[in-house]
Amino acid sequence: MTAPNAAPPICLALDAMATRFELVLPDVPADSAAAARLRAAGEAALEEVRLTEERWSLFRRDSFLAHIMRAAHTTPVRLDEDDWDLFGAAQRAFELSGGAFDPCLAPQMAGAGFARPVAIARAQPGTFADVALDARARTVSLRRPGLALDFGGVAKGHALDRAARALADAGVRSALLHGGTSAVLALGGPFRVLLGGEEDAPEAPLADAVLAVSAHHGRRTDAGASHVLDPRRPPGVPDAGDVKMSAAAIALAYDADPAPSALADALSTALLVHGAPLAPEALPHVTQALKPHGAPWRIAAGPPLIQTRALPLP
Amino acid sequence: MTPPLDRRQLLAGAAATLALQPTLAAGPTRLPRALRVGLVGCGRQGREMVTELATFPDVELAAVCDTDESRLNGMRRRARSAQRFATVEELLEKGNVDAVFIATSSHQHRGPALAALAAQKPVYCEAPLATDTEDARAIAVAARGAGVAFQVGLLGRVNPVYKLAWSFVKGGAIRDFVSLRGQHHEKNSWVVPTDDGARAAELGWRLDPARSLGLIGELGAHQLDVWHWYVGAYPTSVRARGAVRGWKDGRTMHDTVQAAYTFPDGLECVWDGTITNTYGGRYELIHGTMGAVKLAWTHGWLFKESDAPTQGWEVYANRQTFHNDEGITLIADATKLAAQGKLTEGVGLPQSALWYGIESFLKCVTDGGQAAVGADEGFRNVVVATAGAKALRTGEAVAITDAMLKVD
Repeated sequence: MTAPNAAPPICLALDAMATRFELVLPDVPADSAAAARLRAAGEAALEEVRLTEERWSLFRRDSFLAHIMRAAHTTPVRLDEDDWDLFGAAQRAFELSGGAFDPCLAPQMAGAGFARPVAIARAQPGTFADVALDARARTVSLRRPGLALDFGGVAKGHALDRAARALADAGVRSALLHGGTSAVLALGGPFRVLLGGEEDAPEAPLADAVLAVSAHHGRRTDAGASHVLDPRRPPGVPDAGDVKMSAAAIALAYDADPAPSALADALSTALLVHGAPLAPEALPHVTQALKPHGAPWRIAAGPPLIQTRALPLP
Repeated sequence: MTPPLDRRQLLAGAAATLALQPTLAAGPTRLPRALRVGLVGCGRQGREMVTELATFPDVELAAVCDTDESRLNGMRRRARSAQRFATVEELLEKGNVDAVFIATSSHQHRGPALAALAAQKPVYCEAPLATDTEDARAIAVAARGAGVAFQVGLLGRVNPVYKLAWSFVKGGAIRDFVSLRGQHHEKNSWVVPTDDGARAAELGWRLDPARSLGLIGELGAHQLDVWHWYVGAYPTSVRARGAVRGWKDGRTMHDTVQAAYTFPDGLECVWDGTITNTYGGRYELIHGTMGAVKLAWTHGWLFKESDAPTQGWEVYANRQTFHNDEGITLIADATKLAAQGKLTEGVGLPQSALWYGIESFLKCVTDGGQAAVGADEGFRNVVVATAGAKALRTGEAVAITDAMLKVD
């Protein structure tokens, strides 16, 4: 792209995945044709978000996710590299968190009072351990019929990763995009991102990095149940995570993982559920931050990608 | 022993007596034999084809080709095992494919289509078939004499919801046609995001009136074919007007268009397209004296007039409210789903419209038989779209004669 000037940034938005995606392109060229091409790059990025929704929506019968749930217990389903990255992020988060993140929670979510999408009306309980990934053939199989996959926020992160790739392919070097404010991706930068609206809210000066936040207050049932459930918790046992921490955040460099936003979103959910640092020796490049109930944010582990005045957790 | 059906099941089942019974299998679609296929054109539409082809376990995308190196290399992420070629000739010579999918720019369909047909390869070609009648005619003539399947990607005719709605319309559910209306609204500049001038010119063909039919052809072709199919006739004239309402960047291609097609008995069809506003998306409306049908690709609804005859099964039909109107949801495979107590789970198609186009073509290749939408139909679709584009360009009414609709 050509040299920027002081023109106002180009801001684009798309309603998708039951939230709002926003994209800011700050370096707008003076030349109007070049500015139109920059905007077109933004359109291409949001088109990736739209395609991600079509592909991974739990609310569409014609989504690829619905196809996997219908077919993959009888025949391995082929994945492209983007799909593979998404499943890979989910698998890494599942393993690194000891199951604190699990995208097979839909039946438990329905049991807690959340709506059950029609695509998984007859879902059976299971875990991500029932999902078999074949790296050589690039396929996914489900070891049991009726297994429901709900990537939720991870799919939003995946959409950001695809959008960022489209921007990079078009030569865009500076952009900030987010999906429903729970996951933010910065190309170039730094961009100042605050975790919450409080005076002492930590700041993440994101530069070629991603940030994902999970919080119990993000979505609750009418009865007050959090949308963040502990997959390891036996039925009927109170959710310890909801008691200990109110929010969790993960930050990592954009090039640290093939699916940085998807992984960050999955890990932030796992961190909130777990309530303590996740495998810090295996995640030396990942910043982990936690917010206990009624207390400031604290860095739990990792490099200082998030700046907070609070002390590290003991 | 099968338990006897209760009244509810009997009445729900009766709904299907009006319906076709498309195959909406729960598992993956299997073919009688494995196929190696090639894809020509790795842009937006080509990528969507790759996505859908991957859901057929018996189909291997063996080869892809594109003259644009960047797009060709981008296929590494979509189909890493496919051989990549720079030309269709190379793909046909070295790709060892059983069938060819063409998803190049609309004005570039002729070359790969004729090459594939000459090589005796069955062809699935995206719609519109071409951007001028000369190319469309050349493809149709070649397809007639090739002795292999040729299917045009006009997706209404292969869509189970549209087939179901067609059976209702033909069964008299809305009685006599009153008017036809449709729209395709989206928000997209159609600008290609590249600083490479030559590449921008090549890939930005949709904004070039010399190479593109504009909104009527690129957005409206599928919908025009739906009306040809439902009415059973082609329009005899068209008037159109358009303007650049949103993308005032020096383009000459209208970003907002209205076209009014007149059918033989005076029936009017109004099509509205824009790339500046998303409201309403894409749908077709067919108004009759006893009701209306609304079709929106994965979904369809029947709206009945108050004085229309009532069928017993309607009491149990799934319904959806649109402001002051209540539509009966058109559900493909209704009988089977009703018998299983899963009628509401059948709302919306389980696959994309493109998937059904690909499925019908693949079965045509493996089983023989006629393509769901042949090259002749694709040619006539181009004639109608081209007339609309001409009416838009000249500001005059354009006649569509029987002679124009003949391939030879």
